[in-house]
Amino acid sequence: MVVRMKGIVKERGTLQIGPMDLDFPSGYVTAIVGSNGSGKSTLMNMMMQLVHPDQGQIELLGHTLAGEHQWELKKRIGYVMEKSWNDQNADTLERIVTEMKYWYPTWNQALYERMVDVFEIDPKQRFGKMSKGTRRKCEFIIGFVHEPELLLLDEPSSGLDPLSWKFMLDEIRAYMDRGDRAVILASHIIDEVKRLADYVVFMHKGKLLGRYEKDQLIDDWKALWVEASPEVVDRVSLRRLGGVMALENESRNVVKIVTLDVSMTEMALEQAGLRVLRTGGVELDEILTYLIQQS
Amino acid sequence: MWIPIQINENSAEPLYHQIEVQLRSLILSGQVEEGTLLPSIREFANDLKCSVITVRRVYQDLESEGLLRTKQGTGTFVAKVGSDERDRHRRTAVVEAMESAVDVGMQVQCTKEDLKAIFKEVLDAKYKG
Repeated sequence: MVVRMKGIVKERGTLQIGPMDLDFPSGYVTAIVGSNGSGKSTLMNMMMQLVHPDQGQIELLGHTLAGEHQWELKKRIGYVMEKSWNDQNADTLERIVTEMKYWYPTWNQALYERMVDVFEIDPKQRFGKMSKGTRRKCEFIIGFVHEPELLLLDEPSSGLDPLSWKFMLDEIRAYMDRGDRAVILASHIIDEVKRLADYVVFMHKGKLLGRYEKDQLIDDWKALWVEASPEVVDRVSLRRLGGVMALENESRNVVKIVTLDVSMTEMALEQAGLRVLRTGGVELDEILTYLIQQS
Repeated sequence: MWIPIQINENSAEPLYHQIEVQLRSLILSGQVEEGTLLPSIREFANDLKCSVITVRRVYQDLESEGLLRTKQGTGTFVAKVGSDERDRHRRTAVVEAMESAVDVGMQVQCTKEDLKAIFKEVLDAKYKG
């Protein structure tokens, strides 16, 4: 585990984050998916020791955090924050990089030069003069190029054009290829989560809704379109069949069933003598919505 | 090496099973040859939009079937497939396809004789010239 959180509680204005236990394994990409204000960024800030929990314990890269800043640990983490730093407007990538080379022993100069080249960045341009996307690319480079053991990405692709986005995903993939690093990704972009994540953590209003193996979710959650006249629906209580999360009437004789356990629901439908006309996948954002409704 | 595998998320069949069936078939049919270096687990997972957990499971299953072998530090390769195994696979693939054709025939109430006639017709048309 790169990060272990145990009994974490943090008051953030009207929002209470936690209490929650959450582990992030090494070798995997874990995506945190949640509505706005669900507490994703606060979790990352806790890992970066920018925010300290009111209760609970955080173990980071094998060290227990105990209030005081552990700078050596920070060198082993890369963080792409959600928001840009306004006080850096007059700064340039070139100047920041000269400092970073000294700060990070694992700084990869060849990777830096390649990324500046592919992203078509002028390292002498002031951040304040850059477009939102170009600035985002710089922030990604700054968090990434020392190839940290733990990479925290908070909405990394906001503002990126499709080509740069694709390049960023390829870089993250190559970085993870070694198998002993970890990415924690907060993202609203479902396609990004699907491409990168091995595990998905769902959060809502500071509470943990669950942590799942991503492909297990895709395998288990399905929409089933079932042939069922209103008389049959009266007779068979579809809502009570195993795994059923939601029902929608598609037409007079067709009901759409959303299930979190397709094999269980299919079996129950067969026993009830009902025919499945079509099976479809359920997207991760829809799963989040159903989990929120249920909680 | 890019491996032509098609995932269908609308199917009720689990992802790892879809990938495993297709990869096994590509190897046994010879479309992916002996000695081919397969993509790294992370690379393949990325292509297929699935997790490394799923790809690792497929590689492990096919390795224990003797279709793949992993060299420490180099990657996963396609192993030598015996000709018996290949013939068996060819036969199975054809039998399965025919079974589903017969199922369709039975659904639309064809008799055995109807199906035989249709089969001969299709066969003649395909092998003409």
